[in-house]
Amino acid sequence: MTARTTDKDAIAQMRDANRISAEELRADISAEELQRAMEVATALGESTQPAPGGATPARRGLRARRRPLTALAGFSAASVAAAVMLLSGSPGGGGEPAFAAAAIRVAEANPRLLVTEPGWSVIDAGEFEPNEGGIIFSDGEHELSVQWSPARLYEHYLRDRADVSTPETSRLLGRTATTVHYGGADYATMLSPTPTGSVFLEVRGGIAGTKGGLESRTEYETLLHSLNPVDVDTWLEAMPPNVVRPQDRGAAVERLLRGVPLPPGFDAAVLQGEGLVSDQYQLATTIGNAVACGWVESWLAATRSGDAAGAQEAIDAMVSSRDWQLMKTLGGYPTNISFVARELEHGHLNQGIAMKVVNEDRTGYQLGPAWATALDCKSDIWRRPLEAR
Amino acid sequence: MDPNQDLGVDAGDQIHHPVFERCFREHYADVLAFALRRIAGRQTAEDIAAETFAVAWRRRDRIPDPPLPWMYGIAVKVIANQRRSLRRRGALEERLASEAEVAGPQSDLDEALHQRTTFATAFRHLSDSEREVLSLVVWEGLEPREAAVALDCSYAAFRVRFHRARRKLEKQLAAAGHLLPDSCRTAAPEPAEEAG
Repeated sequence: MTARTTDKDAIAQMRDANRISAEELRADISAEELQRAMEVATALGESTQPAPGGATPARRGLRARRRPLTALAGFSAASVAAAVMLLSGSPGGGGEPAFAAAAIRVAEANPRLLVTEPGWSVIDAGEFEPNEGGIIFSDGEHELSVQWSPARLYEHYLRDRADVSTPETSRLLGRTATTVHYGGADYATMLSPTPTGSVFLEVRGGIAGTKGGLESRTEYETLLHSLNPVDVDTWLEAMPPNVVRPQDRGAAVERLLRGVPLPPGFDAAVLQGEGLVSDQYQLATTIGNAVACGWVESWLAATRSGDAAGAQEAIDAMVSSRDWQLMKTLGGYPTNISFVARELEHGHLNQGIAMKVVNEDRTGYQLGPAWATALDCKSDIWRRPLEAR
Repeated sequence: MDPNQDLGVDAGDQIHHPVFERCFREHYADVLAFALRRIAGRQTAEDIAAETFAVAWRRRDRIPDPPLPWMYGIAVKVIANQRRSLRRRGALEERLASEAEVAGPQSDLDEALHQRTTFATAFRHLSDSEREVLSLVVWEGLEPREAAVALDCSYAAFRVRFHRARRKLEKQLAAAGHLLPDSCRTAAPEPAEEAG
């Protein structure tokens, strides 16, 4: 068959290729079928793990099933967590809002731009460090993100984005603004760092053609030009409320660590540090990973020295992670902690490569070991150039 | 009463967990569709949906709101295990679920089939993770933030992965002569990941 071109972009073609409609399925499934499917799922869940409180599983009329496929043999890439965050509330319920010193450090290092279009606000600030992070603005329908990165990477970004489209250069807020076009209404603009600034900014509309995507360049430009710098307090006050406030952080750490066995030499006080301000999810991730890193390191040391009891203690501690309070804060995901625990339990800790990053010219690097990358154990992660192929 | 309280299943086979039940009734079709887009066969897809909700049932006191990105995150892993299992048995019969479908009544059949076959071929050249990144947004309709939750990665990392996958898909489509030249771009290293 002869190849033909189409004026539809890749995303539109992909959307067209979808012939499965959840709505049609929903309409086709009768109430009885749905009820039956629910009974099957719950019975299946009960059959592999006793329900808390000894609830009796429903088994009536269910066909025989093999064991569910819940064991995960590996994990793909590191969850690049390491997020740190912000905001305090009003101390004692009165006076001016006070912000955590860590948050103020982020704000002071940042150009602190806010979208000033009516109806727009910050909806997410999941990554938040002085030199790296980002916030997402939304009006409920569309999104615009502002990411900041170390100023030393600015030229690197410019070179990379030059490959996206022909860059358009202008001036914005006293900075060089370089805009590239990803297709559709998907634009990104890099704002150069100031001579003394430690970060540069990348402004980006929501991914065109997806939820949150912008609809036109005009809309993007309107939002881009509505960005205005504000003072530290105004900027921090604009951040979303779902963050750990400094006066609550100690209690949050204490609560999350409840029932968690700590590895030998683990200093829990580090988790209380000023640099570790986070929303609940990120705080739980950070704490869980820190504890898990310690246990895996402990297991490795014990294994090397032939300390069987020490190695078993580490395995037991990791296996107990499924009951840690902080895992509930993580929303019930089978987290990387769970995967590594399972590997230790089954005697095959993945110490190989976690991921490869391959450039167009076939250069690149690889990261490992897999367990350390998954748990974000920074001191254990190695990075090596790709072997010549 | 706390709706998240573990109420379990009683001896009369009645499911008494309002949060789980609501999640199931509202999203079973979404999860089934998710599976059907990735695995051939209605029966296998129903098994995947059942496994996914079985995991959700065991974690019923931790179902987040909204639950769908979380459910998809579970389903991604259930399917990955299913594929590994099938590959081990040498019986992988997986395809782009839509590939064998015929076009809608308003379409030119030949052209539509050609386009979809070309797309399916290009799509198959992507890695599993690249397909997943695109599918969660384009087919499942998740917002990129939600898709990042499903894949347990940061929003910034997700965007890098999304654009990388899209570029690769565009290159594949262009190579098949199925994308206009001005839509073609070459892939490049993304510094965000390197910086991360």
